[in-house]
Amino acid sequence: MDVRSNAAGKVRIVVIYAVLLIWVAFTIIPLYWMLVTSLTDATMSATLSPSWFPLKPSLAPYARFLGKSQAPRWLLNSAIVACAITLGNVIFSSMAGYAFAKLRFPGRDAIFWILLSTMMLPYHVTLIPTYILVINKLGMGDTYTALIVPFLCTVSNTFLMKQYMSTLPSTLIEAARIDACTEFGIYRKIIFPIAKPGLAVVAIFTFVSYWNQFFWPFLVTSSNSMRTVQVGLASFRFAEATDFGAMMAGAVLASLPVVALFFSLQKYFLQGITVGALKG
Amino acid sequence: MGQIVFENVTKEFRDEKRGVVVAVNNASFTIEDKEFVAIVGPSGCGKTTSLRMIAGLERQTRGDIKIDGRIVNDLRPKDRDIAMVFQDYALYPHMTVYENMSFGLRNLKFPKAEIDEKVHEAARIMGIEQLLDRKPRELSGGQRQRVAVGRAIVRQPRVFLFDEPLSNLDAKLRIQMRVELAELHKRLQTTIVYVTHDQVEAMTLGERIIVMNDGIIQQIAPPDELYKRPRNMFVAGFIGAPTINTTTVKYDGKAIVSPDFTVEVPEALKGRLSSYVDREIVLGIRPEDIHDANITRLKGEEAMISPRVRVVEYLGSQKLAYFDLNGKPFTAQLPSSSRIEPNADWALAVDLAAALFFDAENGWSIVGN
Repeated sequence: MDVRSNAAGKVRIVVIYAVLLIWVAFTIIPLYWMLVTSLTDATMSATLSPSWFPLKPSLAPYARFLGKSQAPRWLLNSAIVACAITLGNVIFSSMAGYAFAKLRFPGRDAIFWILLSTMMLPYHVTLIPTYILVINKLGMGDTYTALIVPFLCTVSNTFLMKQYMSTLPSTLIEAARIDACTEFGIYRKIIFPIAKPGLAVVAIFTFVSYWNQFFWPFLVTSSNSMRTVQVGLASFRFAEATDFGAMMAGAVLASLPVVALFFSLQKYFLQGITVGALKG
Repeated sequence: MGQIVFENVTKEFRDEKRGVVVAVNNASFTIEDKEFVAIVGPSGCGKTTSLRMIAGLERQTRGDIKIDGRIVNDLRPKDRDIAMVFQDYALYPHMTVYENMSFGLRNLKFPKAEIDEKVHEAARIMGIEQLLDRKPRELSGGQRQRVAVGRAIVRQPRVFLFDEPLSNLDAKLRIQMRVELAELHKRLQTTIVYVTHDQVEAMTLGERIIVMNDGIIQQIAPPDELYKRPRNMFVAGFIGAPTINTTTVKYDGKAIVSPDFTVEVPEALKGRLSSYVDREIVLGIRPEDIHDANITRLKGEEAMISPRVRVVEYLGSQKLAYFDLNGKPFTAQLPSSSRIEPNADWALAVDLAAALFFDAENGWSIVGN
């Protein structure tokens, strides 16, 4: 019995590993191809049968990407936009999350549910009204304001922070109230510092998603100098249709901050998946 | 100064499942300046809610709360000049012990030198001077407890509020801290309101005890009065360990009659029971008022019983004997010199002079008031 169940267990593990390896391969191959192409000379990268290794390794595509276009500016724009949105979300969603989790005020739950229900709406449903508001009514087209302001405090981050704040003991807030701390002081001196793990999760997720954001910047920017790197890369493709090498070099550069962020803060990524699952 | 007055205070909560819940029902009492008062009762009795209303963390639905003659209904916690020690200590985890203790004073904009002096003085009193640079996570449970109390005393408030502060400590440390708190009260001479579900803590610490149940104050009295003259069966049952033995009996005008024993009522008691002739009453006997007839000199007024002893527990200085009387479980607390054996019929003497009597219908003490 034991021998048979052992054998069955081994077969099961082999099957699981095989499936996972195939999945990993499917995920990694495009990235690998991106990297290889970015290191391959222009003439080679246009071949119909791409090679598994750069035959003539060269950094020329990177030089072409950075030299020929407004690429540095796009990278800078992306950094400014992603950082500003991240900062806004860390501050505002933590404030909102704190209020929803710990403060008592009339209509609190109703407001929270209304906010949550907006998460059910598909992105494209709100896109057009937001576009009309930002571009037509407020006249913010082609500005950092248009790229940043609509996303300074997102509902999903507010929800995440509310769930996180719910796990903090209320007695800390009460102790601070007795210790003559103002309501804003409680947020700033007590809640904000002890909510750091939750805030780190918000910061990472927000940075990654707005660094990678494409559609909104594509809609609201018109000049080449206001584009973010994702939009820039797309336009680059149309302009330099044959230069896959430079384009992939751009893609590699654009994914570097995200990859670096992921590997340095893996712990928080995993926390982000479980936040709110434990309590609340 | 630190007198606290509750005038017809009621606190109602709205609960989704249970509707309106009355946590504290029309409570009125006065806690005198410098008094150590314990509020005790089972969980959900309203004791913590009462404390939180004094602190200003909850607002009462009706009634007034006064501190030193001034109505504080609308005052925020910081304006009430109180300090509170929480059950989970509520130490700010990202601050050092020094920062925790000085937080209140810094918010009140005290000069740095004065803060420093006060924190060190409080740390000296609590014996935690060597811990001032540590974070709460680096402290043991007992040390955290000391820091929490230190943080409260550093402000030198008019009133200290303790919300079950010892419940997270192990038994040995709890007894040690209990003694220290009693000494601290003597030293600081400040009003202390101490909430606990542990009647031993309440009895040993409180100069007076407020017993609550279901949001209603059952009795306010010093510990010995609560023990000897409980106003009702709830107080009699809640105060005292092992708990009081109770059984329903009938008084026929001359004797107490019950299935397992009948005993002539002494003359002294007859007057007290005169309005209960031929009615059912509840007889309450503290375990220490049941004696081993073999080793005790009897007065002749005791009710003699010979129950079958189920279990005997030897506790060193005493023995606890468990048996049934009138179908109810009884406990007798006997000296360790008693040779009482389990599974034997043993002659026991119930001291009726020390007995408590309660109205069987409403549970109120017949002669306790």
